[in-house]
Amino acid sequence: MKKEEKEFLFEYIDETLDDLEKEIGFFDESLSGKGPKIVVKEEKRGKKDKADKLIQAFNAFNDSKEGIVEVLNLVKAIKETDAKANSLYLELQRELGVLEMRKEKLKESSQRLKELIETYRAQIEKVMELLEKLPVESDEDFSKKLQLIDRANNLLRELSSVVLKFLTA
Amino acid sequence: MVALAELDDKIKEIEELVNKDYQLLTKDLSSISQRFTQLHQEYLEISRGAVSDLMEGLAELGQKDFLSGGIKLIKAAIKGGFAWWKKKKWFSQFTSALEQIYNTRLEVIEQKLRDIELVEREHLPFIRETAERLLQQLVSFNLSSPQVREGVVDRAESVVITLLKSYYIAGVGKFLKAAYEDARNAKVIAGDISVIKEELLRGIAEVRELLQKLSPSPDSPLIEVINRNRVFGGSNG
Repeated sequence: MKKEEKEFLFEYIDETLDDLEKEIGFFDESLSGKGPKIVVKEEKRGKKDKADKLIQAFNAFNDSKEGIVEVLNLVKAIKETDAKANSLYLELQRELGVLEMRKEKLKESSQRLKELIETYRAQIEKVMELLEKLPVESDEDFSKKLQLIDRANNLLRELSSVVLKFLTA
Repeated sequence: MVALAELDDKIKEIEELVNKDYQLLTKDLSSISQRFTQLHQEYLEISRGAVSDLMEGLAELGQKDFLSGGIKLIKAAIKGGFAWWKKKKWFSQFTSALEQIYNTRLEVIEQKLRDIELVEREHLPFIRETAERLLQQLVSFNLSSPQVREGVVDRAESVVITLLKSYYIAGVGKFLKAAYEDARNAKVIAGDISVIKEELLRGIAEVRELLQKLSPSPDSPLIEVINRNRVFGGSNG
């Protein structure tokens, strides 16, 4: 039923109800375009009740029709809001995923480099011990000592590089 | 100064690396939170609509308007139920995700700060002490011939470069420490890269002093390292 038709009908019903001494007619035609024509005469009480009930039923039908449409729209709106919430949540999850990866990678490389650093330090300690115990009595001792110094210094440099990697991991 | 010039690229590299990490650790999530608050508001409004539908529906039922009243009650139930359930679900999901993000960030930052502290407390002193022990070995040599002397000076210079590198690493550590502390406090600007060069300059002055301290005489090979001017040139500290 068109809006104009409905408004017209309501107006018409209002007027006729106020003035029920006279007849009400043909509103049912606007309702469906066909069906019985209701004619209420002022002196007939029973017909007035019948008209009241009909008007009530019609109003209820119209209200509920709107109500049903509203419920459907509501479900749609809630679905949309839900989708928005979901996309925000996914955004947060993505962010979290990147961070978790960074954390795991850091944990893993930090541990690996820590062990490597300890290995270097143990090796350097060994070389230093040898170096400091070795007496310098001959040219041969001297060149051996220089070799050990080179070795220790190289190990120290490698250790430095690993330490730097550890810092920037 | 050979040592300083060579480090410029490396310093830039470190700066980029830290910037990347810093952005990851301080990324602003306020726009996501804001949008979530809006959604929350929408759910609240739906709930409010549900309450008024409920009242209307009840009133109409009271007036024996069963069909319309019934529909309104169904509407109220859908509105209220959905809004309540969604609000609850999303609220707990969002807050737990945000909490996880902040916790993970903090864990990364704490791990970095722990590692940096370990380097400062254990590894840098070890490197410096060992280098000093090497220099002590070098000054103890009996330098009979010029060739021997030359070999010793070369080694000393090489150890000095190792020592200086430890100051550079200390500078990197200081820079990183400041950057991660800034990240923890959610500051906009992270750390100051110039601390690396400052530390290196301090190192040059300190190593020069050390060489003088370890030298038994002015003609020791360690003094010659200073005079060769390869590492210390331009830093008349």
